[in-house]
Amino acid sequence: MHIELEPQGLSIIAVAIDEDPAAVRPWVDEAGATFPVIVDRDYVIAEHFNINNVPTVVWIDEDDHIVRPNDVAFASDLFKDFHGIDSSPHHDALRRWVTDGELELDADAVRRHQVLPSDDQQRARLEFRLGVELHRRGHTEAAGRHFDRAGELAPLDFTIRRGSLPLRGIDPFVSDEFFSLYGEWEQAGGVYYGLSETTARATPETTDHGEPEPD
Amino acid sequence: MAELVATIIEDGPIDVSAVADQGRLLLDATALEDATGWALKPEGLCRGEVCVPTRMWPELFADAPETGLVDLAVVARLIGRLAAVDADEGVAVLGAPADERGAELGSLQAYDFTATTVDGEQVALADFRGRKKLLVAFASW
Repeated sequence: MHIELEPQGLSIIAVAIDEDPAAVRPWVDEAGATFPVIVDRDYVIAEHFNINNVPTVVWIDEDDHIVRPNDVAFASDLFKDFHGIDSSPHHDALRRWVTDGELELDADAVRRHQVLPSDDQQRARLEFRLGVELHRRGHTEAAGRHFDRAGELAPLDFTIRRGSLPLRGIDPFVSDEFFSLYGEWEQAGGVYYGLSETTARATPETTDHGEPEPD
Repeated sequence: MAELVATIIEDGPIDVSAVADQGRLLLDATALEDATGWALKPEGLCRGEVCVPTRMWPELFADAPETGLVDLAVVARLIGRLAAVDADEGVAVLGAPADERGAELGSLQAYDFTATTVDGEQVALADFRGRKKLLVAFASW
């Protein structure tokens, strides 16, 4: 996709919401990334764009205006059975924007679809950063207390709850902690971001993990 | 009470002398200004032309004004920051409240970040001005 749309004026900027650049490296190599891959160790970009799960995409135009707010979009259909989201509508919409300048949302609609943070969400990010700083100092127990507090303040934020698991020596894919988080998220409606009205979000499908989500 | 070197993180980490006391992180006026840019003056907490009156906030002063120590968590409330504080570890993180971040997002002007890539290079959003950008957040977890 990058190779196809790059000559027509699209730049991809990838942001890994990760602590350890070495953990990101295999993904970069596998994707054969020719675009910059930022490692957002201090959660600065995540915080400014209010990113609370991955993958998340944001469209930013030539003048650095947000023209399509945070949404889930996948680079391929590899894990479609898991999340029930088809990658192709996003690719088609993206191609129309890059080649024809066509946007589905005007500025007011972009604002309506933005998910804005709460003070608890902001506090959770500060507690998380405090935990990361203590983790870097090797103060594991103290770090854990702040990761716990962050998770209490933002229980459905994957960048905080799932993102802290590797820092606590817990498997972020196969562990009671991850399954518990996933269950809570599913129970709460399995909401990513609020773009359900647009064509870029596929019709929810039954997944291996539960019933179809209400739109 | 324990004297320590505390790290105050907002845009970046700054180390200052501090006192940890019953969960509170206390700073003198010099440390406070070094860490936050806010100066303690007779008229209040001031930065540039802006002063926030402190008269109604007796809890700002750890025990009594004559000690010259202020509670960082109370300072944060006065200057409109949220704070996470671990006094015993000597680390505090200050950041924007939700309304400030919401206004930034609602402006639709994308945050002009400068960040470090996996290859250790600096990259800024502004480097891509004049092009369409697809910001893709992912993670190893």
